[in-house]
Amino acid sequence: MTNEPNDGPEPPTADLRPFAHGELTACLSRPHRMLDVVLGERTRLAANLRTGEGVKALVTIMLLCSVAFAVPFAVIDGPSRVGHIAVLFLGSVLLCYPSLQVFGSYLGVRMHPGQTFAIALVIPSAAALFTFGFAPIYWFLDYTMPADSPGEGSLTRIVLLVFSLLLALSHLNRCLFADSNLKVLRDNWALWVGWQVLLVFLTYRMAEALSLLP
Amino acid sequence: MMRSLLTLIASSAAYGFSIGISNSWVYGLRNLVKFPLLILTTAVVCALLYHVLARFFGVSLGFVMVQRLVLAIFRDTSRLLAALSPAICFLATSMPGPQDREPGEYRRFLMFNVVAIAICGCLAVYYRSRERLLANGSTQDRRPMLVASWMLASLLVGGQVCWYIRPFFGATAGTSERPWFTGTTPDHNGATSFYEAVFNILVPAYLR
Repeated sequence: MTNEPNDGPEPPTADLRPFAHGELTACLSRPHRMLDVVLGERTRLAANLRTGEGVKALVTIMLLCSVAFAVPFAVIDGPSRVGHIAVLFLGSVLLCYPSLQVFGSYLGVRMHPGQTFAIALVIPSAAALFTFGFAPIYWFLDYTMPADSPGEGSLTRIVLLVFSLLLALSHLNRCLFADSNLKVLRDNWALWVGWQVLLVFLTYRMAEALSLLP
Repeated sequence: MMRSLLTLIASSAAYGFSIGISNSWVYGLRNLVKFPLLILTTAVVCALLYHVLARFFGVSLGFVMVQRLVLAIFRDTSRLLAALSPAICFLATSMPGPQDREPGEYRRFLMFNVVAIAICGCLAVYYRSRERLLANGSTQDRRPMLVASWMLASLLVGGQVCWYIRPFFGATAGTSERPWFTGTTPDHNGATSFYEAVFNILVPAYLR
């Protein structure tokens, strides 16, 4: 059972430095690095969100990630629906973002709009990455299971999209709550929970509008 | 990695043969190809998700290293199952043929194999989750959760792969005229996919 080499470097301690501008822009030439920025190194991502450092580059990266990584999953439903998944997650967050910013300001969350926007964008970008991971599975299940309602939403797609959204929400929460300095949202937990409920509801309505549901 | 792959193919083929022989030589020989195909298809279809999950759980390993570790889990499981092959072969050949056997006998054999796969899978997951390589880059020890999520994904996808390329040792007699893969053909309960079949088992007919 132990043929593989078991010797590896000891686990390093968590890197708390925010991503530098150069590291973020490097994602444009090496898109696989987006996986590290958005999902892999959440303490560093949280540091960027907290300090606002490189927030413009971060927002650009996450917008691109939300669109590009959602394409493989969407394209399985046909070329005409190539943008549906990006619209589903990114569109819902864009619609909910003003409420987070305005309600947050009203309730005393002092954050720059760019920072709040970056926080909100963690959801569609992480969800897009999960749909990217699910894409081959969705293709395989779509291929091997008889269509339950051609042209309409299939149960497989719904289950995988729900998982993607839930995992993305859990990722954002652990980013924010893992960082003890990101107290502003944690102290206003009612706002934070309420906003997420609103986002989930809007995503559901968006899925209906995009004919992603049966 | 190549050696690991070859071990996996040989071990899973041996186990596949031993379960197939319970039905007929045709199924036994077909399983030499079908069982490795089942494992490799599952690993390929889940490859991207394994990598995304590794990043999600904070393990900073490259794509190839992740596949290598997952392959090691599958290889260990196959090797453990292959070790059971002689015993299973004996049980399979000492059992009456599909025409003569009682339904209970087939179910017991099926259950024995399900339990064997579960035990071997759990053992492989347990030992591989202790892999120090997996701790590389991880700030918190989330290895068991990561490996469990890999296995859950494999189970859910592998179940459907298994359904699509069945039969492996079927209840009815296998002849060379029977198709290699049954695909989406409904089973005796009308299920057309693995998930539907599990649903049919879990939910009584009067509640459906």
